[in-house]
Amino acid sequence: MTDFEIQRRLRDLRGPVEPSRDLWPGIATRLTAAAAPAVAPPRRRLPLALAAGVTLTALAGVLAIALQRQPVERPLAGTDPAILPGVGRVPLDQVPGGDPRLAGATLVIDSAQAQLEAALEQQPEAVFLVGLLNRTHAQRMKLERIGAQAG
Amino acid sequence: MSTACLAMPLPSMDASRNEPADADLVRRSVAGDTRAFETLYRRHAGRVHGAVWRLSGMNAARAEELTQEAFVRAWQKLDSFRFESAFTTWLHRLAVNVALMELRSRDPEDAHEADVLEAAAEPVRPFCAGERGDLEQAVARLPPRARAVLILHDIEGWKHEEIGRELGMAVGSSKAQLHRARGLLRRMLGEHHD
Amino acid sequence: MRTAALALSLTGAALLTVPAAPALAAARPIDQTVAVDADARIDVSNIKGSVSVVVWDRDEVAISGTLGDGSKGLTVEGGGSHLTVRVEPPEKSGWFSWGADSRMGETTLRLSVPRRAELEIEVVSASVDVDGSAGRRLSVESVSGALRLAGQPGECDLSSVSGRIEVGGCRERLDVESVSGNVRVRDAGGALEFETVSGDIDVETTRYRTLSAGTVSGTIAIRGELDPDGRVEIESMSGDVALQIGADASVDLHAETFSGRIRSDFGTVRSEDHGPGRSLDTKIGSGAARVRIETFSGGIAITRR
Repeated sequence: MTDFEIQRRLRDLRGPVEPSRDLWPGIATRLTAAAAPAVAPPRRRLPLALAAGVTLTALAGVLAIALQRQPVERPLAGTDPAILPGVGRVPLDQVPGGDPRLAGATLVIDSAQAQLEAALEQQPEAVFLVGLLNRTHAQRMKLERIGAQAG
Repeated sequence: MSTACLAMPLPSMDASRNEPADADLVRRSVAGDTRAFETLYRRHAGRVHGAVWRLSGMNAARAEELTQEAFVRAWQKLDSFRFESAFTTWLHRLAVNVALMELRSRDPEDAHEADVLEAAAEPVRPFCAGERGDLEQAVARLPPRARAVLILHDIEGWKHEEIGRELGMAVGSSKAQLHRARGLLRRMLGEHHD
Repeated sequence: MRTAALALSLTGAALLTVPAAPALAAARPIDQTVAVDADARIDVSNIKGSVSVVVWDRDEVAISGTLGDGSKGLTVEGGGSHLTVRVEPPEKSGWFSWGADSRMGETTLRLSVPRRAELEIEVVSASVDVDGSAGRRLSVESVSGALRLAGQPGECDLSSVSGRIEVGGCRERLDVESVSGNVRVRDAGGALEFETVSGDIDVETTRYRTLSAGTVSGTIAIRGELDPDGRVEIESMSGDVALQIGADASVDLHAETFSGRIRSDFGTVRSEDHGPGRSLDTKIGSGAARVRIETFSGGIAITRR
């Protein structure tokens, strides 16, 4: 099947699909809770700025050094945070939980993402790079989860 | 089970000449008239639900939640609706954003190509009748990001620049995701048929 | 049987916490034994120091070692089919707390567990050493501690951020994930999966069924016999990939790179006429197994074993 045929068949999927049950009662309940739009102005929702995107840009400058191997043997739990890998090379407010123990990994991941993006610019048809990018992003989310338990 | 694919147009949906225009209903809704908003819901539920259903990977339960969420958001934001665009376009866009919100914040947990294809090789579960079944199922089995890019580009007709902006990825990534999604689809469909 | 059941129900209700000692007190010794099922699930967590697990042929878990300064205590909960052994962080601190980490002394935790016990271990910077386990499953999550496994658990899920991971044995399924920690596997079979960002992956095993390995900048080296209908998928951005294939193997091989080099003992490497890109497509024997390797700038070397 060619891309063209796939596109044509996908276009056929466009169009309405009715929900299997009436969703209105559920919506109506929540509307009363939310009050009328004119009476109570909608709560401002902050746009979800994806941290990765921001850090990527910020870190683009340190690409060359970024992927240097981290000292593997050195325990991260030293008492002096200044000696931890990555500390001083990545602003702590960009590190999950502001935790110096995660600075090295943050630096490694963020620059890996930037490098993958750059590689994709050169070779957009390299779908495996997208897979790597997505999985690297998953590692970043994992750091965020660990960092959320810091402090 | 997958009753979501049965189109069930409600009798009242037949656009009759006497029905008020969307714009009037929006004005009445902004003034707090929930009956007017209900009419908007009945008129547009299928389109909104269809969009979020596809983006959620044809997950019926999730699609219903997203549809409700989209209409609640729409109600809250109605006063920001500018009447120069069609209400249906505005609503549709809002619904897609609601569905993408989840995708942006979620952990991609992206699978290797081999895993996707392996999962796709599992026996086809009974689905609604009709030839689109196999394609829909293949789309549903794509990794979430690749699926979103494919749907936004090939079904919703978005440009890569828009997709990249909405999903927080570079234009190159969006193009590559699309390429990947189509490749996976081809291989999945190829494995089911000849 | 009756006595065993009684012992189980007693320990099942037990919840022992070694009381907290005043700050700056000397490390407190740990010495406890709990009866468990032969295939019990045992959860262990430590923050800093070490966890070492050995096996024995008793339906008991013996816990020994020393509790580091600053820890609120050691919690031992449950028994029977499920036992939890947890080193508590200092008062008012979370498990992953930088403050707690710097205020805490190292806790040494030594466990003897039934051979078939299932293990779930969680540490921050503590090293983990598991020897002889043959349980259904072993799972270890570490932030920076090194991890070493020798034994034959059925399924292994190992993850670390920056700690090194060494595996000597895993029977059916091995899943390893790390950011910058290096991964070294010396014996594992079945389905193998590796994922790092910058960590190196080095695998040498006798026989495996499927392997998938991905890295951004680490190197990947795989040596071992692939099952006749096996599958290998390797993806790397800039790290080099080296794969050894048995001389009598039967493989459908595809390798491609954007700007790296391909060196292969099988087939002929093709270069794009215009622009960058090299690829290799060849069949070794009947080609029942499938091998796919892709890199962006990393080199690819395929050698005959």
